[in-house]
Amino acid sequence: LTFEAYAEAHLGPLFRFATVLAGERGLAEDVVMEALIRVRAQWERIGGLDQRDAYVRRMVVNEYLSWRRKWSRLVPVAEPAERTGQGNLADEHAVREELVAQLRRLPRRQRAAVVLRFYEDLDDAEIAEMLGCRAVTVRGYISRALRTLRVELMPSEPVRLPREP
Amino acid sequence: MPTVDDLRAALVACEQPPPPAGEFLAAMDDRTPARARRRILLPVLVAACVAAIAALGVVLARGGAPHHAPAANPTTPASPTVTNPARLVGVDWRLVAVIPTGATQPVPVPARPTRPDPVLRFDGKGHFGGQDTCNGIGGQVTIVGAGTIDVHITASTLIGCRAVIPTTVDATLNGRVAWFIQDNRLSLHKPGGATLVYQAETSR
Repeated sequence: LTFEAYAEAHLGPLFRFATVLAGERGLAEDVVMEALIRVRAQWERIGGLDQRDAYVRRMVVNEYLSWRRKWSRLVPVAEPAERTGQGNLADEHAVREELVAQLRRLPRRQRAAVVLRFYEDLDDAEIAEMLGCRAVTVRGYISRALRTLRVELMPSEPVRLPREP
Repeated sequence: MPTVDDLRAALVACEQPPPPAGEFLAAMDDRTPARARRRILLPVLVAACVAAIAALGVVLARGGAPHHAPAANPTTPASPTVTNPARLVGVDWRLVAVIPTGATQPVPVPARPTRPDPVLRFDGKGHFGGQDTCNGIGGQVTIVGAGTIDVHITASTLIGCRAVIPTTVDATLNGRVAWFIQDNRLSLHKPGGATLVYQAETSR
């Protein structure tokens, strides 16, 4: 498999993942392009990996986390207004819009952890591997993010929150 | 209160379709040589900076101050520079790199197939126009002296971008700017601020 064939076949899912991760199209383009340039430079090695797709995805995550790190700004998170949803489509849309806005304001590592957990459906250990940290740290990221987003966890939801001090 | 299902739906709503693969891969090819150039350019820049510091030391040792010191600019070339304002006019200057305030390495401007090229044009009548990688911009330019201009953005479209490159471009193109052209590259340097490096793209 050549790099060009691989990139053509995987650009779609990789780019969609990057847009969810980055929250904006321009940044997603930059991140995917930089990551693929690196992949191409090491294709002889990466092309033969068993976990090639996961490895490339990890490169995208790392690129996103390190992208102009010193320039990234944290936007203060406003308290989201309480909603009394009636379950209709308009309410659902409004809730989603508000969540999208809140997601944009999360610190990058928290956002990455949330995306990997709830979009990619990875478990804590896999996310920890991707982010290069411990599973307990991942749980901390997700916990703080969910608290910021005010997302209600269902009893069956397998997210373990760290105990409050 | 939103639920985890709402969160999953919100994440899916963030998905955006990819650009055409052909264009994207071609843009990668455009960008790769720039990265290679950067690797080549860096040692040259370091050597130029060392030479500039040595030259500045000689000038100061003689008790004088440099009249115009493009050597302080991180893109200082080894060959002669041009500061004739007429050379600014009639050229599409495409932004290829930004050296942010305090940084030593140029940051290449990514090629984005879905966006217009970040070009800058001077009309020779006191105006400039172009793109800052996010918004269309236009403004006034005044020649102050050899290698120095005053620029002010007076018009801009209003796309809300907080990315570093457009904000750096906008900040640099407001106020007094030192400039020179060398090898078809235009460097605009804001004293104490960032440097923008443009490549002459087409003559009109």
